[in-house]
Amino acid sequence: MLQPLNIVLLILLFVTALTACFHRNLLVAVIMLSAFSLVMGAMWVMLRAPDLALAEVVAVGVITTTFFIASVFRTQRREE
Amino acid sequence: MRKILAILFVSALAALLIYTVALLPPMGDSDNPTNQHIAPRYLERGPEEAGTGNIVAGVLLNYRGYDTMAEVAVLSAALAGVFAVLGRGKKRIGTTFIDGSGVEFSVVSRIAVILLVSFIMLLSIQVILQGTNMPGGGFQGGAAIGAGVMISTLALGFGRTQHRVPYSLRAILESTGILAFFVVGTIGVVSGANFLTYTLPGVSAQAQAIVRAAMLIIVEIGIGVMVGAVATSVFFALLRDKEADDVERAA
Repeated sequence: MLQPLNIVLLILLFVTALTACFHRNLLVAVIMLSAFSLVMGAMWVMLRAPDLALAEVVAVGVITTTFFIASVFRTQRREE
Repeated sequence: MRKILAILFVSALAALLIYTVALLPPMGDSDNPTNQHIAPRYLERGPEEAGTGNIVAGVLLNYRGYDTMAEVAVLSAALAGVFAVLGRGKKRIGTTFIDGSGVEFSVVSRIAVILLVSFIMLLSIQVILQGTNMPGGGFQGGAAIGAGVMISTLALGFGRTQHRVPYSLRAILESTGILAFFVVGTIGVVSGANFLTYTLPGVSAQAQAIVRAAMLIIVEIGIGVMVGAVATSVFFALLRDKEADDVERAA
């Protein structure tokens, strides 16, 4: 179950999720969310769910990220 | 005091949830109820009953067809909510880039994005059309269409992309998913079969397979086009300028 690649991906997931939550620069946080979804897509492929992997990468990695980028530029760049 | 109460409440909730999780059957065990009845049936007879090589697509479109139809309707409701808050944005006046500036990207990145988007669009068409036999389908392919439009808008600016997918076109495309479901369902009902069974009565067994494949493809294309149009519309509504609102209100 815990192959080396799996462990690397899990660590990456953890790091990107924490960065997305706690980074002060909101643009960096949004890009980290996008990276999170890419790693998550790789995880779905390893769990043999390619349908979910496609949905994850496209919907979260691109569409949600772009929505968030638009929102960041419409409000303010930094967290207070 | 309030903090202590909150901590107590959260701990109690956490304990309850962990207790419930501990009672769940072990993950991946072949004796689990979910692995006993319905999953083997789908795996054994899915391709033959649903007419799709991809069992996920078979469950989505055939076994759980009503579910997917309602899901598509929910997508429309979500879009209506976005428009109620942000406004539809028939016209765009003012700045043309996402950061509010008028500064263009460099030629290199623009050409790179155009190349990238052309391949994304190709991939999305492939994902939609092959969705019944390969991983993917209408939702993923449609989202890829929306993603392509968004990426090109990010790099090329709003002014260069908006007239390619104008308001009047999007307004029609945003309903194709539900329309495809109802057209396919109603063809079945009119000719004497049941709603959304993807069959036509009085057709030979070989032709029935072709009829079913064609109907499934129609539904997939409908869903794909709709998801792409909805994603694009939400994005353009988000990009709308405050100035554009003011001008529209004054007019």
